[in-house]
Amino acid sequence: MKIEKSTAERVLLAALSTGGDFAEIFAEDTLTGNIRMIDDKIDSASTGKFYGAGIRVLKGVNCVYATTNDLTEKGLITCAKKAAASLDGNPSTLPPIQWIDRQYPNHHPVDLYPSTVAFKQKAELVKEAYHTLKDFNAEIVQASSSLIERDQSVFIANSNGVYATDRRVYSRMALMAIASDGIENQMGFEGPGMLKGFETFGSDINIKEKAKVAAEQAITMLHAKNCPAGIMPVAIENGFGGVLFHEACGHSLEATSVSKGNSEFTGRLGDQIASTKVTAIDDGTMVSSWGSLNIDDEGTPTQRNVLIDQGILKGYLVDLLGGRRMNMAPTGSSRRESYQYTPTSRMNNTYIANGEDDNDEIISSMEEGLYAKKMGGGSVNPLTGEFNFSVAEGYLVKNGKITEPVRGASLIGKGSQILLDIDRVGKNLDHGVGMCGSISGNVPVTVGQPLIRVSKITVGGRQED
Amino acid sequence: MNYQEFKETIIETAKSLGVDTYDLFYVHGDSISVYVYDNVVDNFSSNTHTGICFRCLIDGKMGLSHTQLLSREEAHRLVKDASESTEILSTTSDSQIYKGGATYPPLASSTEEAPSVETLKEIAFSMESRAKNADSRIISVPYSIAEFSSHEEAIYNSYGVDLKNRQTTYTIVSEVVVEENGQKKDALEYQTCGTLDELTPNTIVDKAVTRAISTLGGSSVASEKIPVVFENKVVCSLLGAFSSVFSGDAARKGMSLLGDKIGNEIAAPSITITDDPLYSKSPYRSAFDDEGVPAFKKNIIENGVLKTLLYDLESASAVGVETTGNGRKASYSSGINVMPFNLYMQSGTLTLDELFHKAENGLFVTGVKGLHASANAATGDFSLEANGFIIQNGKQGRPVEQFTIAGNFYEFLQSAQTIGNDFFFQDTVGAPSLLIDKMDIAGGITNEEDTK
Repeated sequence: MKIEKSTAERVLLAALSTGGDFAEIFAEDTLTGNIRMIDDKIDSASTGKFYGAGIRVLKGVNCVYATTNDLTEKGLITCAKKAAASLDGNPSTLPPIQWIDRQYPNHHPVDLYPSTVAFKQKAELVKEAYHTLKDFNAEIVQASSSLIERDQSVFIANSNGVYATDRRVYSRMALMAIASDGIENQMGFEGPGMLKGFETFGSDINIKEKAKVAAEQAITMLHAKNCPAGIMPVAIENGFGGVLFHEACGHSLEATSVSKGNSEFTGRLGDQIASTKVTAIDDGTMVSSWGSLNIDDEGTPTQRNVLIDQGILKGYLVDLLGGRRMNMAPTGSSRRESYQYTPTSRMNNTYIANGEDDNDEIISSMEEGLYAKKMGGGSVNPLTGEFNFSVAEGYLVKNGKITEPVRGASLIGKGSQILLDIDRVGKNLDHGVGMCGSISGNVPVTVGQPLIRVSKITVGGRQED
Repeated sequence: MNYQEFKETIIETAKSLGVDTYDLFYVHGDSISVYVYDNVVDNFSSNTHTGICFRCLIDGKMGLSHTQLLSREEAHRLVKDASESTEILSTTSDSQIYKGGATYPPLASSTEEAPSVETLKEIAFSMESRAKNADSRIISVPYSIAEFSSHEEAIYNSYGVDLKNRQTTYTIVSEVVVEENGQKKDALEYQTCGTLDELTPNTIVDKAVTRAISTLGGSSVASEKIPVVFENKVVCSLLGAFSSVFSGDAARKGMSLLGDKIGNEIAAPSITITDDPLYSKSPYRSAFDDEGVPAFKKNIIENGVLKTLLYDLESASAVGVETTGNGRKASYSSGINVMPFNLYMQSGTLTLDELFHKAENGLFVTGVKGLHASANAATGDFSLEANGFIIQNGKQGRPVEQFTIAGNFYEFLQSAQTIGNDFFFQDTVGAPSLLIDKMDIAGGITNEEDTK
């Protein structure tokens, strides 16, 4: 996906013809593929193409955006003029665009592009995962295994001279098992994925292992009793447990809300916002990680952004427009689901770094509490910091030991408070794969952490009747 | 290439490849949105999108491919990819393309034309200014949005089914932030409707302001099992999040617990839940589903009894019933799934005050968060962050927040005996407020700012 420099220049100048001070073309040609097996049948196999461009014009902190599916020069200029028409500045003679001569190396190697792998081979993988889920145990009554692939080629050019292309290849499987005792259902889920081609299922991801974990989770939860409600210490296991930090803090550090004063962390750089045990990072450069990118969706190379260092707030996640409001440089964090959206600051691979505490001691020093082995999703209101997330697999902790499994728990609180209440950070850092939704659409992210403990959180649950 | 030309290329290509049973689903949308912030047009967006999806049935297997690029090459790729993908699918005797021949309910497509950008600007500016001047505690108005979108759909299939529909939607959004005693609260209200005349920007702004102010000074609650009055808006959220419990397809796959319950009393006798594709108060109406099957209104639950589940052609065939015309696509690029059109719980007879009186001492829940992460139709379980008001001695009292409410949607339906008369419809879901005798609540965060 590429637009010739001469065309790009004409389009950008058309976009700037009514007084805008910055213009950008984001064009995309994306191929997708999905195969699903459920109920013993491969019931869907689909392929598709998303194709279009968005032209953005900025005037100070105001933004204008127009999209089109017609990527001919005529189509793009019409689109640029549509965007420009809503600003009422006067046309003026604009200098030609000074293109920056820069290479954008690919740090995330791909072996097997999805379009080069035969349907049959993909079907084999999906079937293998499905049968591992379904045949795990007689209590598994339903399973679903899906292969989800995306090959996104983007082109970004702007009036500052950025002229860049990037290709992002995503491969993921969604594995779900439903366990039933004839009266109630419970579910287990695993969704591993990489910024990589089909080869990832032979090298990085052990699909059978993941399927067994999902099936096991469903069975455990089927035999679990309801989680009691109350305020208690909670130990959250590594990997997808990092969704805690993502919701409780991550979103509130995006310029998206910080720049308009809509975050509880606006104006707090340099403050102690978390316990001294917490160092948190958002890294867009981790090789082949699901949340990584070579360049963000404004053409800025991604970076490793230290957000919190031993509890002190060091930085925000900043996009171009947010940066204008905050007078800060972009941090390579500008993302959008597709050309249909204007970009804004988002997360990439967010995690709490390994700490000093011994993982066994974290549990053994808990008299009574909850061990959240696997987290579900959640959400946050960055203005107030109020967040929630669901516990997919939990266990009661009694006298320093992990005891019976419990179901249906959710955790709520305020981001600023929970960061201060993290009293243990262990040593087994791992990352979990997910999709994050916000005003610029759904984007792939990872969340991560070692085993950590929060000294007190409100746990929502149900009493036994 | 335009849609007509693309369609003809598809027909040609299908014929040449021997693909004789197929359908083509085309959408085209245009939308304009104006966001006003701090007295200027902060964000203006003019979006156009086109999408086309081809499905073909070969040996009882349905392949699918989609694109946004209307070109000769893409038309060929669509037919080729969709037909090749059928090789890995399992054969079922149930997959089908609609054979047509039925009559459709009379429903005219929307003829509403796009408004001028000036009209949208005026609405958004007036919303911001009204919000800013509404109360001295308002410190910021993050969103004042006015948007218009038109959405055209066309379905064509190899049996000659040839349908078109156009929907138009106005959307307005108001979000305000209030501050008092160092505490900040926000509230967002929105409205979607089909025509300019139906828009009520002043009401939306007033609702947002009132809601935000009413939540100031909230404190937490103790953990216990108590009566809860769910505000109509919250009942809508629950109904929407759990709507797949009514899917006959989910039921036959064990992803809903209602599979063998037709004719049974599965809800309190005061509950009637309806799906109405032609609901006059909704901007999302259609005379046909996305398979081209005529759409019609039906009661899913009537006075507590499960009358029918919802079906598309495939699931209906698998179960041995007729389709209920609920074969729908989440987006043009997805396959057909069972979904309601406009789903609503019918109103009861009690006023909100009468519901509070019956509850005596409990909670009035006016907001929930975390449904997307927690709601699971297969299990029915939910565990959510919530906020609202105390009910004390039968009357609404102080605001409360930062508590969780946990339950099970199937049990919720069974216990919802006491139904209000304050029916509220938004987007595609409607419901009144209602009282549940006992819900599990967890709370108790103490925070210097919040304790009073």
